[in-house]
Amino acid sequence: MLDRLLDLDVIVCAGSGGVGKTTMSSTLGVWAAQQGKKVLVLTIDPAKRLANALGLDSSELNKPGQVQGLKASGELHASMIDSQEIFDSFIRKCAPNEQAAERLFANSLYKQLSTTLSGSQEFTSLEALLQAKESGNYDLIILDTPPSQHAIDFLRAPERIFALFQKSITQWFIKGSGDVGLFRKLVNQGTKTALSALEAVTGSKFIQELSDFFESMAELQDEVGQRSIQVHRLLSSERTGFVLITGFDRAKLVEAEKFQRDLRTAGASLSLVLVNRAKPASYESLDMKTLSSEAQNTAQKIDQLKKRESEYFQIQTQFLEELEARLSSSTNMLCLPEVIDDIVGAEGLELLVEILKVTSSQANQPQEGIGV
Amino acid sequence: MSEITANQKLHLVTGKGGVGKSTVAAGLALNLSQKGEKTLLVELGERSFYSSAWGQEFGFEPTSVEPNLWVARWQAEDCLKEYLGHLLKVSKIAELFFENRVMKALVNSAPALKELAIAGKLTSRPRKVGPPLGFEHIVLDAYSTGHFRALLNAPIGMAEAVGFGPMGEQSRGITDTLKRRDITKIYVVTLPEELPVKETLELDDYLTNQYGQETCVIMNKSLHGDFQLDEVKILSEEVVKTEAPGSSRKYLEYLETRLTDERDFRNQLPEGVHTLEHQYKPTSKDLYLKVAESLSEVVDA
Repeated sequence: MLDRLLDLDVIVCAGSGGVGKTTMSSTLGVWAAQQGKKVLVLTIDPAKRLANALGLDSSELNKPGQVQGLKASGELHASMIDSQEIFDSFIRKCAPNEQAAERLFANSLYKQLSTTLSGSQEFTSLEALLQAKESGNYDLIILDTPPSQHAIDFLRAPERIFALFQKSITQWFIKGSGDVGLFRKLVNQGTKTALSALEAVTGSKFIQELSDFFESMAELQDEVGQRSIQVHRLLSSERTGFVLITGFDRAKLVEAEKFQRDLRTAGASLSLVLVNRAKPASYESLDMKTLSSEAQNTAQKIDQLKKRESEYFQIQTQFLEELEARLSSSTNMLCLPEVIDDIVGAEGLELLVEILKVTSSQANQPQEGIGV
Repeated sequence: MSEITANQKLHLVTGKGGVGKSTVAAGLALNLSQKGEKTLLVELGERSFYSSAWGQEFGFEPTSVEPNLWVARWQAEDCLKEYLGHLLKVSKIAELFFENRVMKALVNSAPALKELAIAGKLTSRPRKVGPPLGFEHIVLDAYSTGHFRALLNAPIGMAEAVGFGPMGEQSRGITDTLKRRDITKIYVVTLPEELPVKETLELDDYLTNQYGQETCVIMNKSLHGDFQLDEVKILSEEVVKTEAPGSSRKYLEYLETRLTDERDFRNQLPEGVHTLEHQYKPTSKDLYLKVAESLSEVVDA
């Protein structure tokens, strides 16, 4: 089941926040390196232990470094994306001259755009992906997408940023030479009325800033347009696959179905759904006779906890099976157990790869379902 | 200040993705409504999260789901449309504004405009701007920490960028309302794990030291409600001497680690962290009722 991923040049790991996306991206990276590939994992903000396992805690941002201590015939490289730097360098690259770039950097709305606005991280991680792809240095690039509310935000967000540069908006704001006002340039009466309405409630200073912002953006639009086509081409390529990493809760799982549909609409394909922590950690009730009364009390509480947990997993598994039946056959689904081992260093990641491989080979046996 | 504005409370719930923000927000809103106070639970964005629990879709207009509890789903565009309609007094112009293709693209892409629209709608009653929302409590299932800061920063940035004029005025009013502790309360949901705690600490530092607000930290999926670290240690020690299966020993080790981590994380967080037990229930009204019960301590504090 996993082997299909080896045909890909790019794997995009998507999913909503808190589902173990970064860990699974790295695990897939280690696995592919074991299969002999030269792999790059691009990530945003890994947890300390994971950063340590990937050797990222000491390396520079945006500079890939090789992960040491792996038993693999291939190579694993990892890099942490610095959003602000990539955004700024992207603007510099696309701007016709230094002045145009500086003007945009000085705009107060741009400052909000590049740092806090949702969508900018998605945009820059795609830019980082494209740069890595163009370098030709890797057999496989795995992109760990930024944390988001929904998996699909990843695809939508860059579109919104690209839209900023598009002529349809910018042309209405472009001032002519001298002090030809904004509104005089407008041809469309509807837009004119709408803009006066906006000015009435926001004030002319806001309109001025906005106009300045879009005007600066417009200078970049040709380059940016080219870039957005390249990004789209890469994401919809046959050799790019999406992996959805998801949690086990019903509310998270329904996302898988929507994501598959949304990806298809966008011309991309969902290769694999990884359901994380979908089976409880195993535990057998202790022999009470061998325990002191105090320890018995604790052991009973653990039994109760495991019972509640197992009831929960049963309900969820039923839901999961229904969902799997509805997913199209081109998408595989793997349910990973809750891992209670300490994941430390490269060895920790290798352990996760083993679990992934075992789960995958079990799923390949036709008789076995995805029971707990 | 009128009676009405003094009474309305805003509850903003944030936290790292996946910590259970929406569940805590729903539990909080249920708890408040059970006290007999009119409560509006608000979710944001294109898709409804609460539809699966209540079995119905939610939109901009509040929908009654329980006694004293309404749910609404706000999208920035709707908030802006309502606001413009209210200010311009002529809904025709507002309609025209939003039917315009250029304006649609603009609203979708202009930096901070969406965040500003949401924050504006949220604070409309205390600020007496826009159509008033007739609820005693508004509970907002807000964005995750990073985007939540963008929500708080949008009016500040806008006021800096546009010092004069209506936009600047409005922006300052929004920030003032969000900073008032007698009106706005901010809840940060976290888990006993590294990244959620890290984000909570960063946000708490920002809120208390720069923004001038308090935080109410809620640690979800706590094991300390069920277990004491010491009793698990005692059990482990006894089990080592027996023939207990390896998986059980490993599980006990894991439990010990989890409890130790939880204690350490609690020590890192500011004092007065509230804990919420792991419920082991799928997303449902049943889960929210359970959480509502557990949150009594938080609400009464």
